[in-house]
Amino acid sequence: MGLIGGGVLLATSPWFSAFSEQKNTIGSIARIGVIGPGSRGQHLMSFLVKNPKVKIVALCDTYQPSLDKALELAPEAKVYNDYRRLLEDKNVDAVLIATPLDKHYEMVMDAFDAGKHVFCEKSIAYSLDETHRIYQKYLVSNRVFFVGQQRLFDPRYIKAVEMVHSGMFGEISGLRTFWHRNNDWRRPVPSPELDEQINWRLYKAHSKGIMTELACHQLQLGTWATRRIPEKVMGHGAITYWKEKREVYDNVSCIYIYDNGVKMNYDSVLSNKFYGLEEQILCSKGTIEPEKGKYYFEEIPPAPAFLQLINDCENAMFDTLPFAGTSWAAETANKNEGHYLMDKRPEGDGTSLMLEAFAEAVITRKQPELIAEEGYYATALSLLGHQAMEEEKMLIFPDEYKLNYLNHKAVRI
Amino acid sequence: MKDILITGVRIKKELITLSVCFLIGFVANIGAIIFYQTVYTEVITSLGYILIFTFVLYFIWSLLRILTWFIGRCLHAGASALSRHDEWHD
Repeated sequence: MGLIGGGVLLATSPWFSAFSEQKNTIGSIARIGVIGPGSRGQHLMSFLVKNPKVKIVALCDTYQPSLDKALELAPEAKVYNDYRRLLEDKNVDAVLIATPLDKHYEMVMDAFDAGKHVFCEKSIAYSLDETHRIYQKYLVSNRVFFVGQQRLFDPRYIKAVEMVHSGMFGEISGLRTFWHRNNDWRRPVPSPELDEQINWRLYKAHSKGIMTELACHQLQLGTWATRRIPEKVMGHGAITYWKEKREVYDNVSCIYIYDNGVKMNYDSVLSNKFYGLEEQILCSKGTIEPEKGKYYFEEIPPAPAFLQLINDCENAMFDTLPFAGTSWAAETANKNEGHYLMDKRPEGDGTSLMLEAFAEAVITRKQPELIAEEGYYATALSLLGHQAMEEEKMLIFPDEYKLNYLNHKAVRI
Repeated sequence: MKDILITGVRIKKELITLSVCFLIGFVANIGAIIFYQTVYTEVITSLGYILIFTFVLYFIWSLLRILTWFIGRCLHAGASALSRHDEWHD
């Protein structure tokens, strides 16, 4: 297992518990059914089939081309067209749900009722109420519940958060998160009547667009790094560029405000990809960019005195010449190139490790710490941000949806 | 082809010149450490820069010497020619 083998995951990380019994589970098999093996589902399956502790025993989809492709990955899996029949299958220990967002609620609830362990792709559900009900169901189910927040298992992110928590960068002063793309997010469809089924992310009835499909990942990092939940959110969303047959925003901006005044910004523009995606953790003594895998200290150690002397001599000799302009030498000496979080860029983004952790949890029947809660708040914050944009209001995190987690206390209404 | 003979005196002279260049760099580094208030470990850690500086200074110094020698030679050749011209007229 790369993460532990590479010595990256420190013992202080709660996610260490996910692999604590790894040796004891050798020879055991987690029998998994995949509900919704579309493009994302197949991507997840590509990792599962490589894990000797996993057997994909069942598949369920209503779209035959997806099933056909999924069967190439798991040819022995039993095929269902109704997820309820799959849930009745006694050979299935756990389900992986990678269906459109609006289908999550009933599928996850039914899966817990059927006694299955659940891996649900983010976001958890279409509304705050559904998300909360799912979490409450998980609490009484005595089953494992994972949400597809793979950053929790990405070595770069783990290292970054460990460093932030160690205090080496001082206090967190702000977070800037963004995910920019330059495409309409639309996939080709074999016939127009299938557009809503295949391009469900673009339709309000099935998705909350950017917030539930992209922002969810980055807002989770805010909770993880600050160990706080934002209290308020405001924002604005619009369709500015991709106007054809799109119901969800292609241009959003939200500000999440923590109780100590620190803010987390989230921006996404789907018509410019220059800056790509990143989460910038801005601290009093430094900045971390986990996606880039780098960190930067505010105070740069001065260049060696001898180089400073050479630079100053150069400046004194050439600065007054009209053609020389500003000397490049001094800027070069002070340029902050930053440092890499890890010596080597990890091969994956944590998805593989997340699925390994899920298989371990299914076998041991032990829920790793915080994963469900981090997933819950990632979904809750993205839904709340979307609601703030829809209503064009600043919203306060509703008491009735608070859990006993970090700075929140569950309130009985 | 004519053999070039580098005498022991010449080698000694060049080594002394190189040492003087190194010493200038070394002293300049100590001065810079004091002036810019950096750490004294730079006396050792900046030795690489000092060595580069030494060779650059030695190169510049050598260029100046070659130039001086060349000018001197030209002047000498001019003076000799003038002397021969005077002898012929005498």
